[in-house]
Amino acid sequence: MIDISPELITILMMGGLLVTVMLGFPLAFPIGTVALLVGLLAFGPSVFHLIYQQLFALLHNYVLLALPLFVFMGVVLEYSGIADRMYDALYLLLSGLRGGLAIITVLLGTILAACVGVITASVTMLSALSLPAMINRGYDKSLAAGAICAGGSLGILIPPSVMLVIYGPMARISVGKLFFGAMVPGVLLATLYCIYIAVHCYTKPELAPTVPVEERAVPTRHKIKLLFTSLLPPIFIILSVLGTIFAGIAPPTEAAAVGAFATLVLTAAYKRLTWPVMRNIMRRSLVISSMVMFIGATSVAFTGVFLKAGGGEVVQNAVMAAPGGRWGIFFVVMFIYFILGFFIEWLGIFFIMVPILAPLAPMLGFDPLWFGIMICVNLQMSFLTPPYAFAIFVLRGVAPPELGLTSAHIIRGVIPYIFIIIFGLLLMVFFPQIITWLPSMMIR
Amino acid sequence: MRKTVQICEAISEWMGHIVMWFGLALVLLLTWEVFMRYVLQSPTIYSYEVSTMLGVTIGAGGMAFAHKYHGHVRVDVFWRLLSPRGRAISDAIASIIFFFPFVIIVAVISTEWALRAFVEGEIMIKTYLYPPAWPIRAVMAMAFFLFVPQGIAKLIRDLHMWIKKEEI
Repeated sequence: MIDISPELITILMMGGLLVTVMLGFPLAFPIGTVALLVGLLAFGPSVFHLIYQQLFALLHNYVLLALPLFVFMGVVLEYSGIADRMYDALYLLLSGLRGGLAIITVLLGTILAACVGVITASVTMLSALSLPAMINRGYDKSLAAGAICAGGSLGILIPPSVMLVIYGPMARISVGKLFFGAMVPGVLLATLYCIYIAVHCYTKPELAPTVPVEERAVPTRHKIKLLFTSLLPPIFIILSVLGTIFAGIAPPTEAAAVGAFATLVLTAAYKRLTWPVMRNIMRRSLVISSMVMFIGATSVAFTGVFLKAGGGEVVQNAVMAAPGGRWGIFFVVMFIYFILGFFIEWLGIFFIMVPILAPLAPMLGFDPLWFGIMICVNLQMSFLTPPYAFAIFVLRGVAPPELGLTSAHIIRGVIPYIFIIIFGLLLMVFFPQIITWLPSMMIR
Repeated sequence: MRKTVQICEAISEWMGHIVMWFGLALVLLLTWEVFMRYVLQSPTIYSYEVSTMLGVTIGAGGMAFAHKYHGHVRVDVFWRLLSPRGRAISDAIASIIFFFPFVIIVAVISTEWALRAFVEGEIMIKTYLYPPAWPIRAVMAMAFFLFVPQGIAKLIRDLHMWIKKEEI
């Protein structure tokens, strides 16, 4: 045990983390190891117990149980063919519009990608559902790619979202309030995305040929049937989960459980609940849940050591020294998240940075809820901004090579959405009610 | 070597196949709790404790399985630029530095806590159920111990790729 200053600890831990994480070994291990080594240096072997308690506390946390449950719900929606049914229904209903397929992609991202909450999963799902359809119909490649990346990233934000389930306990804010804080901004962004696509395709019709009439010439009766059997049931389930939380009937964890159960029942009603499907669902949700919880556990161990060594104050003082008053500080915080979002799946960022930076919000006189949602929206932008954009990497990795989609196409496609998000963020700065109004209406 | 890899991975596989059903148990348990509370007006006393125990089991018990299927996310900005052999070399070295010390130390400390909970009769005090703490602490210890073989299997695979330049 050596006497080292909090400043040195900060440099050792944060620097050590950035360097080791870049080696590309699964994130959770370097995070845990840095905590262990620096903790050993600062506190001696007693740090082992601190780390154990932090690991155990995260795994044994009731609020965070919503996480495996929402993941389960999302995986069921994805693997049981419900997502495909929704896509087919939307296809028949909306493909008559100019750019209709791109709009469908954004809508599906908004509705479905919500639950799984891992950017890799949501972009992969959207690209499997809609990329070949769009490109084979002669859609512009950039238009198609942009809609997938933007829709997939937005899904991470819109409730019920795993991102908010994690932000809540880390910043000590109610998850229910966060859900409803994100609701209006999420819907606002989705609407802006759809308007952009519609206007863009209206001015340049060659980008998005409409689907031939004979392909969507189905009787209205059939369309209505599809609407009620394929589209509305999953939307109804998701909305009732949110409604339960909104009305204060059940906390997010229980609402998530009931939602997961209801999607399972829906799958059974569609006669898709076979043994192989069930096993795939269980397998996939275990891998995602355990991955998230393991990163969470090692990250809170890291933060536990970091805060105990006084690193939190060092970071907070450094950020507070930014010029430009509280808005200057706010900008610095946003910038930190934005840059980290380039490299690290947001999970690592959230578990580590939120406990350190969230206490700044009340100190500066910002509404913690507003502050949190601003960060989550800001991260959407980080996922999309080249040169290091998570969504772009994922899409390039999963797009079938025969479609001929290049990075240049994807980058050109996502840039307009970055400007839309900046516009959205500015709106939320000038009209904070966009975020705070709905949670203030909640019961409880 | 091949045999060792097979045995180690069988452990992860076997554990994953058991633990994955705990996810379903969690869904059913909490749905049942909601039903009991709002329909029958008689909430259960055990659901809070049992569900958090299931949470520990899913989180810790699934780690090895997730590792086997490359489920733990990486920062692959640079890693993805490497050749398959380069990735294996980088992973082999990284696993000796980051995987084994961390996982083994946590496994040992978890065992210590589980044993102490057993000997001293520690109980969980968040609800009026007061369940003993040792079983869930033991689950966590066991999960971390059973994580080690998966690390060994992965290391052997990477070393094989490094030296023999082919997949095992």
